Amino acid sequence: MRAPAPTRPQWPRRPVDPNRGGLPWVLPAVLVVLGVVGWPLVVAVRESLFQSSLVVPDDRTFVGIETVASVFSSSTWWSAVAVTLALVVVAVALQLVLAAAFATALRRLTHGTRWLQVLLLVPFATLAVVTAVTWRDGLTAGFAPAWFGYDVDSRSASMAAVVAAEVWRGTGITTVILLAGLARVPSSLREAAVADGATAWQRVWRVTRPAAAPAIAVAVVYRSLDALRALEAPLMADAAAPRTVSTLVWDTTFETFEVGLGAALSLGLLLLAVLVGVALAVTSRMRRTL
Amino acid sequence: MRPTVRSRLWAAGTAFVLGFAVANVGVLVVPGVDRWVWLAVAIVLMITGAVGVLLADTARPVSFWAVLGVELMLVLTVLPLLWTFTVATSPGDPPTSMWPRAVSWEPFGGVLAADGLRTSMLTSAAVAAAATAIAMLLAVPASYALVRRRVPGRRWLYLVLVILLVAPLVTLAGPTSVALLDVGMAGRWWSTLPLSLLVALPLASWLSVTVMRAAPWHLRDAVRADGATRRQELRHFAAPALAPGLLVVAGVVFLVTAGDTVAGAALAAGPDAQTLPASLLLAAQTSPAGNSEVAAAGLLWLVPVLVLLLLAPRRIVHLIGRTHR
Repeated sequence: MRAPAPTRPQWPRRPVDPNRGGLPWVLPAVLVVLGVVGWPLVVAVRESLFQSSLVVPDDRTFVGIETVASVFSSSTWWSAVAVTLALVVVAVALQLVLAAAFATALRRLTHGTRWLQVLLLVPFATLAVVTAVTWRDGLTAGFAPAWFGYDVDSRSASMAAVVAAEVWRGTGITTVILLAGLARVPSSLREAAVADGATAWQRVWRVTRPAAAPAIAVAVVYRSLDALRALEAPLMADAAAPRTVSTLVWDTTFETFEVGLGAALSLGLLLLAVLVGVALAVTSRMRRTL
Repeated sequence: MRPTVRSRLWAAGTAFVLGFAVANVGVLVVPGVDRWVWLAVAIVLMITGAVGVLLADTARPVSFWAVLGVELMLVLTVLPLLWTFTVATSPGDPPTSMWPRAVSWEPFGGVLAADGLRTSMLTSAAVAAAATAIAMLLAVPASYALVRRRVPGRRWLYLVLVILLVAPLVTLAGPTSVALLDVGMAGRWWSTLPLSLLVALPLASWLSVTVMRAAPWHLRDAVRADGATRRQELRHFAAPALAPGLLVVAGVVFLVTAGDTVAGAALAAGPDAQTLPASLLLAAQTSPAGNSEVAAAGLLWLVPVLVLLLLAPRRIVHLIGRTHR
């Protein structure tokens, strides 16, 4: 009888992580994003170094960072930045106030909340260009001048139409986001605050606001950046209305076909969006953990 | 919590004063048939005030601040839709009253009959369907990995996704058209695909992450523990737990991509290859008299949107509302 072969000592095996190897699942999406974003970004940087126009394709001169520098030293750019930021502040503030009121009201309802939320999403689902046209007509030539008898050619009416289109479009979705945030506030917490003798204002500021803070942060950042990139309503506004950065980029690239200047303006708008986004995300402590 | 009597009386008083003010403006300032719209709103507000006073000291759990808020919400949401309908049914110069005076269905017929807009609708649908299909194929595995698997730099990838979701598309429109011209790929119907993908892919990934996060993964673990094969896992876990949510995500992504103006307006090869929003933008810029057709097209666009919203209201509200944790 043969003696059993000596078994080799085995190191204890590491338990296999069932969640390992996620990279191949993500890689195709990353590569496509790199293609559709990286490629145009490289082209934008390259084109911003040239003075070129699609109208005269052969007339292409290397100017270095002169175009970019001229954008940042131009009063047109800074005026457009000021108008854009004013639009963002006014539109987002109005949206937040209205959405907070609507969300608080919906939170108290016991029936029909879901259908009302569906109704609230209809303005957001309406084509932005249609919203822009109807609000422009309504406030500059339609029902509003007929009701209140103001000058239809006024510049403020055009700006009001841009803000109204933006506010109407975004209030519903902001309400839905804030309502989900309010649902996070435990009723026991509110009842405890009432039992402790907190006033209505203290309950809103010290109980509801902190608990709903993640939703408020998402709403502020998302709506601000959406207002910052709004194109349809400012584009549809009266010619007398001040231009936003988005319309400046659009006009330069697709109306006068100045590719180099358009690319420089595009880079400027991207930088502005990043700065606004980072500032808002940091100050509102936005987080969305995976 | 039952509102206090004082809170109800304040709400009732506010509703009544607001209704009184609206009625006064309606009677003294607003001309024509729109006066009745104002009066209707005023009557509803004043009735709310009266009912609020009557029910202030009862045990009913109704909050009149909530009722007032919902009434204002309905007014601010529905009246602009009424105005869109009025514009859509008043061909020619813009109407000057919110209530439609002479309803004409011609613009709706014009939208459906006009070759240009019908072709635009088909182009929009084709481009959006292609972009949605590609985006979902890429986004579903990516979101699964982001939620359930170990991915190096996961948080950074997610941050890039969020940035792309809110990035101004117009900044990449010009460079993309130059890039397509560089390689001789401009001027085709699918030239809008790269920018459309930029709308569709981040949105599909963002919404799919919400679906993946909400899925009951413990059920999959249980199915696996019971020795289920891959096919059984798909049939008994993925199909019921993930497929409905992902189907709604695909619907939302399709509609958002088809409704995007920038890609179609910036990269369309010509009038025949324009998407619907691009055609409407052009129509509104070139001929103010065509605004009724623009509004009519907008209302027709709402038909598929409403179908999706009414088919899956709970899922859509969840997808859009639960964008934070």
